This record gives sequence, C-alpha cells and structure tokens, in this order.
Amino acid sequence: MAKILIVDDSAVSRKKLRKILETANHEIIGEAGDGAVGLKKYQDLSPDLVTMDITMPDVDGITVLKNIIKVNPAAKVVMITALGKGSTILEALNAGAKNYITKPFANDQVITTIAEALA
Amino acid sequence: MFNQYFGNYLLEKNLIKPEELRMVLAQQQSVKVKLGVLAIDAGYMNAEQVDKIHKLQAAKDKRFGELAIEEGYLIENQVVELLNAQKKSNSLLGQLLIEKGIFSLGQYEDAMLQYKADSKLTGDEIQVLKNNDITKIAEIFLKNLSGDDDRILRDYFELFLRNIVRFIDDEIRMEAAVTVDSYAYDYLVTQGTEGEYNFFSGFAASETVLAQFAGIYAEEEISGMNELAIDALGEFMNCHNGLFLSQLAHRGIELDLLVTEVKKAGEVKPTGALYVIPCYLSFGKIDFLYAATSPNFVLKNC
Repeated sequence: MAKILIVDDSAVSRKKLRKILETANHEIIGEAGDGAVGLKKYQDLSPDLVTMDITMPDVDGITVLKNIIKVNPAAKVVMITALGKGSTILEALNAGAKNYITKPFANDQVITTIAEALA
Repeated sequence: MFNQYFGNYLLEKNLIKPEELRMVLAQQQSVKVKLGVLAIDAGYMNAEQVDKIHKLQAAKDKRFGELAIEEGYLIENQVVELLNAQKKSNSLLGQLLIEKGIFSLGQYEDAMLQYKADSKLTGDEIQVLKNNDITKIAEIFLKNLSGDDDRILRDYFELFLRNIVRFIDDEIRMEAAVTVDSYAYDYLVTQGTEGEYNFFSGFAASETVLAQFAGIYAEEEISGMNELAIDALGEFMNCHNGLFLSQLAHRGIELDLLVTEVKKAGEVKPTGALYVIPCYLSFGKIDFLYAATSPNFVLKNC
C-alpha cells in the first residue's frame, strides 16, 4: 500500500483514479486541481508516488514533474494523458517520469503501472 | 440496439403505450427469448406455424426446434442459428410484448413485417442492428457519406458511438447524417485540434440532457450545468478525442488537442459542410456535430 498524491485539473478524473487506486489498497493522501498546488502538496505531504495529468491550464504536468524532480531526484511520478502522443510521453520520461497511463482509465493498466512504478 | 428502433416505431405508430414499452424494456435483461419469436424475427416461420408448434409442445413434451424440423418448418442449420441467437437479447422485446399480452403472436409478426417495410432498412441492416455490430451500424447511418474524404468522419463517429455505448448508454438510437448550413444550440460540448488536419467536432443538447449525460459519466447525480457537469462533459470529450487522435497517430497523422469547451446558447456556422447526426439516448436527444474545417461560433441574441 502506498501513499499517493493525485494531480489533475479534472475533479471527475481524480475521482475515477482515486476509486481504482483505493481498490488496490493505496491511500490517497491528497489531491490537487492544478500544477502549482500539486507541487506545494508534494513538498508538504511527501507521497510515495504522484500521478500527474500532463495537460493542465497555467502550469502543465511536465513542468510540475521537472520541479518535483528538482526537489527530489528519486521522486516517483506517473504521468496521466488522454492523448498518447509519443513525443510528449518521451519528454516526460526523459524528465524523470517512471511511466504513463492513458485515459480513459483501464483498471488493470492503472494498477499494474502504479505497482511497477513503486517497485 | 435494434430494440430501440423497433420500440420507437411501435410508439410512433401507436401500437404500444409508453408505459407498456417502459415496462418491457426494463424487464428484458432477465428473460430468455423463445425460439418461436426468434423464428418469426428471422422470417423462417409465421405466427400460425409457431402457434402450432407451441400446441404440439404441450402435447408431446418435445423441444421447439425438434418439432419444427419434424413439421418441415425449419431445417437443422436454422435451428442451430436460432439457438445461437437465443444467447443474445435482441428479440426479448418481442417476447415480452407477447408474454405481457400487449401483442398476440400474429400482431407481433404484422408489426415486425410493417417495420421492415417502413424503416427502409434492408434485412441485412436490421440484422446488423440486432448483432450490435457498431462498425457496421455506423456505416448504415453514414452511408450517404461514402467518399474518401469522409473516412475520418466515419471513423470518428464509430468511435464516438462506441464510447457512448461504453460509458453513457447502450440504448442509443441514431438517425442518418444530414448536412446543414448552420446549427443553433442550447449547449455545445466541443474540443478543437491543431496540426496538419483541422476538424470540428462536438455534441449538443439541452441543459437537462447534458446534465444527465455528465452525471452518468461522473457517477454522481448532477441536476444542472454546474462546474462538475462542465468538468465531466469536458473529460468525456477529452478522453474520446484522445483515443481518436491516437488512432490517427498510427496512420501518421499527428494532431494536438486544444482545451475542451462547453458553450451556451450559440450558433455554429461552418465554413464547409457541417454534419449533424441525431442520437437518441434513453434520457434524451443529443446531436453529434462534425465539420472538416473550423466553424465560426455566433452567440444568439438573448
């Protein structure tokens, strides 16, 4: 069981992801609806893993990822995206993301990807 | 999916009352369809023949298929086909209408024959509806758009249909696509793209219908076009378009998604053709919109 922070500007998306992660017995210790709050919560809560939506207004997920990695190079961040665009995902992985999950969420994919990132 | 079309037809022709249809549709999940009804649906037997077999069943304690073969009404391959079809629920509406005493076998047969004539759907197309084959269903309602340029629209709509069935409502009924010069909406959910190919897509409906749509997707009760509704509608559109753009990427077409929007009280005026596909869900009507180039939006004078 891991302590997870969910960062996504969509409350519906955060709810769907929370539901899947809680069935896998993870604890959702915080949620953030934008990148700036997400970075602050990361620093305050020290989660085991962060799920980070890529496309967010104001501060996008990859920028937040880079800032989290600056704070903690060993941080475990899994990117969330509706568009599995190769170049964007590669940019995130090169910036330190452990993996990515595409929307709409497939329960098995979410649980497996999170488990592999935590290992 | 066929049940939606046939049920709507029965309502329009005043052959059934709304509360009767609601009742049988609600019960269809738990009932196993009988071979006699399937045989009528398939056109293999008529009501008189089915009735005769039912009477013989009561006297001889044999199965329907066996007796129908003995009497020369069916051949073995047809019985096998009907037994396979029995696993699906396509003919439950008919069976329940008969069991509830709303129709006799003869009335059901007449209604089915008249529907086949009035709907202008071929026998194969009706079977496609019964088989819930979404790829072929999309082709039926877009058959007036058969050019290569329309390939993207057909693929997009097929995926949209799949996602509606997957996430929102599997009791959808759609009508053929029409092209319009402009489209006025109460609410419109849309998301643009940017890249080598521009298209406009979205769906429009009343506030009540979209709030219900949003509530189903969000898995929460939503009564109006509030922040949660806008979020849920935007997320559905975003997920759907993400899947479609991923499909395009496999074909070598790279596009990016713009922010989703929920627009109120406006008009879409396309620079090119605007296609509208009316879709009837169990809780109301939405119009699916598509244009190959970005339209202009005009706000109605309120």
